Amino acid sequence: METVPRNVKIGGALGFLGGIISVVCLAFFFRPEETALVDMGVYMLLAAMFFSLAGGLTRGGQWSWNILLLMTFLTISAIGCAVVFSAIDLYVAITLAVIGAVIVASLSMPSARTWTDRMRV
Amino acid sequence: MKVQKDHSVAFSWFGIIAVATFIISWICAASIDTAWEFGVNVLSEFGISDTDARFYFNYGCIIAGALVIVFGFGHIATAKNAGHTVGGAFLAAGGIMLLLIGLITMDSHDPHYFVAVSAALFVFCSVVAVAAGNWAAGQKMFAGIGICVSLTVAAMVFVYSVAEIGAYGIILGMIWLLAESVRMIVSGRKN
Repeated sequence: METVPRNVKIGGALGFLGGIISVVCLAFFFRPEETALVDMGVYMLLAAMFFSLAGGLTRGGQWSWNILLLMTFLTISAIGCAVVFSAIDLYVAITLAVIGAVIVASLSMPSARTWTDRMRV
Repeated sequence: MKVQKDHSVAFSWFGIIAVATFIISWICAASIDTAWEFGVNVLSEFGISDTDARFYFNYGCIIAGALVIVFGFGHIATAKNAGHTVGGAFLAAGGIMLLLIGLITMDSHDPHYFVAVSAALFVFCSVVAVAAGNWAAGQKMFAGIGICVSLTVAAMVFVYSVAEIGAYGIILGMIWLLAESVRMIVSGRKN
């Protein structure tokens, strides 16, 4: 069985961590009000996007390297838009953006490209 | 190992110097006109300031605009695909409008608003077109910067005031212009 490159492992772990942080923040910032629905929805969206990135960086992932990179950039953009709309805590946003940037860095290695394209379903 | 450079490296410096010029003129104008507040007053108010800030801002816009025009035409000259060509054309048009912002100040009302909004729209279209061009040319990391910048600025339109969009949008635009200049330097080097 082919070994997973270390940078792909790190990228996948960080994607999972980003998803976990988003879910924890969803619980932490929960308010039982109708006006809080948008904020809660943004945390859910970010959790889904980070978990999907983690899924893409595993064996039999759903995306090619190109799509995976595009989705990472879209995730970072979603964090930026959430900050603009004040729907997310600023420190959480900075943490998630840094995680997204490190995932981009891990994907930029040549080994990540060959591995994700070969291991795709 | 001898490193050869094509003209894109030379043109990229126009973008870097344009950003540096605009930042310096902004800092000088803000330090002279202390009544101007970030995110409260629009940048164009520097152009009609009672202090010397108006000279720094207006001349800064004219010089930076001229440099962006050259950078835009350089972008067209060294284009790898249609995205780069269209993006360069939009950027040159944005540079013309930036130059006009320095000439047609805010006290002229409608003509100034026309050139200011046109400059913003042309540069935004350039970011989108160049991002598409970079993606098609395989320079996906630089395309990603364009994607993030364009989506964040688009979100700002729905939430922020004109003064805030102007200030934050120009900062993001300058970051993108620097990144695009770096891309041209990187892609211009041949082994």
